[in-house]
Amino acid sequence: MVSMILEVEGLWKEYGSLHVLRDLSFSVARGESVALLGPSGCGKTTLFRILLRKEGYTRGTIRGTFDAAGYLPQGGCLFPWKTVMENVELPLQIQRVDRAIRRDRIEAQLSTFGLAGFSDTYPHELSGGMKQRVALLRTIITGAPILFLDEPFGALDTITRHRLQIWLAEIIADLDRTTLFVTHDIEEAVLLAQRVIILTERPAGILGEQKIDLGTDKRTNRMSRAFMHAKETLLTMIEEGGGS
Amino acid sequence: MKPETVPSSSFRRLFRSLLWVLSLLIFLLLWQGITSLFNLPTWLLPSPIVTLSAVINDAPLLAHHLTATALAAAWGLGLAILLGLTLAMLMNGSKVFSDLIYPHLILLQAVPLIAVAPIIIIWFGLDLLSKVVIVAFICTFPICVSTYEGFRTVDSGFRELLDTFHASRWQRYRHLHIPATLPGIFAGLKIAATYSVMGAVIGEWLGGSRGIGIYMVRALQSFRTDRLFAAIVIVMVMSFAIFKGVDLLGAYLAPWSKRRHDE
Repeated sequence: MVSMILEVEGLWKEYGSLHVLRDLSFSVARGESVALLGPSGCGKTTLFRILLRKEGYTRGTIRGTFDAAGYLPQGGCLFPWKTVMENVELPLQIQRVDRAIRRDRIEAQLSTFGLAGFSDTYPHELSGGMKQRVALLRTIITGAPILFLDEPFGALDTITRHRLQIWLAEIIADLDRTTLFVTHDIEEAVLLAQRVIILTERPAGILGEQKIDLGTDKRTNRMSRAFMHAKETLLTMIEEGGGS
Repeated sequence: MKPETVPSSSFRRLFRSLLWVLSLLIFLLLWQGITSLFNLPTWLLPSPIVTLSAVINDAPLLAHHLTATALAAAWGLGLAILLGLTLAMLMNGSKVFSDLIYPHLILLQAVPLIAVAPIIIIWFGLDLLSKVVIVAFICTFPICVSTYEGFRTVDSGFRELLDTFHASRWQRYRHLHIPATLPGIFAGLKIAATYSVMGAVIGEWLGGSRGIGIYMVRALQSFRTDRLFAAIVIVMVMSFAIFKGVDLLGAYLAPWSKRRHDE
């Protein structure tokens, strides 16, 4: 049996009479990359906040410990008064990792993240794509076994977004970490996830689940048959289940 | 865009300082002109030249008094920063504490200084200490309020991110609350800086042996209006110097706030 790093069963969330999450059940296996796909404002971020213990929930059970989760909030949340290096090292600094050790660890990653030579740059001097890569590096640098990425490329233009998606797909494959990310972009879900969980409109429930099997096709080839097929399957599921 | 804006902004800065100097010169010329034209006696309105000569003639005496006033203003401002920041942190840490303290702080600030100052003199004597207390009394409030309001408007996204890093309370202040609030703290600090010299002078009016306020009282009693004007010049220069010092310190400690302003 595959070991589950996260199991959610019958999760409900209500704010007074407002239902946000409706009977969510899903699980994530160790090492798996899972996308939560749903329309904007359906409660995906709320789900993340609950999983990260930032918010309570009304009913249900959540199994799994995320004391060491890497969290990439929507919009990146880079500290404007910190340089690239200072932003990335912050989680390690808070864990009191020795300065020389943490800086070496980051230096070794900078070029992979396309940030070589930018460690003393402030966020406002970077492009949107670079900012997002800084935020991602900060998310993975602690070595957290599970990553929560909230709309990792939500605020970017299409071209940058496409490039970064391909780049992240490779990074995720190399990192061998459990990744759970929320998105409203079908292509992004196919590109980055081994499994896609489709959420309904608010209150968010589970519309369906789909394994993404691209066979021998390159994961990042958006025009391959398998890619198109996976996209179509997801679209059909959304249309059939969608109601309104 | 960027390379072009750099020279033009430094040109603008030069232009702005030139304008400032020019307007000051015009003001001084007008002042000199009016006193000469209407042949006003010195005890009514001393001319800029007479004022300047009073400053020069009394320079050693003014310096003697100035040091006392500057010391009171600086110590008082320092005490106010310590008190204001501590209060703001305590208020930010506990809702009960802030509910308890905030209204009283406002009430205290509503009491006119001129009514409180004599009481402070009675309690703390005629020496430096009472002046320091008076300055701290008026300067704490703007610092505390601007800091506290700054803490409260810290972006919750950043707070939650630090939570996922398991940051301690002190680490949250160090990495988020203080840097995020620094521009606001300095806004309050600039107001406090201009109050500080005024507070010290008012304290000195009520009694003591050294300070620009004492010098002013003596000048008033002997109808030496030129000396009063000389004292005003000194107070203005001192206030401006402290204000500018705070401003520069703010630009040094929080360079990102200046940058955002420029963009």
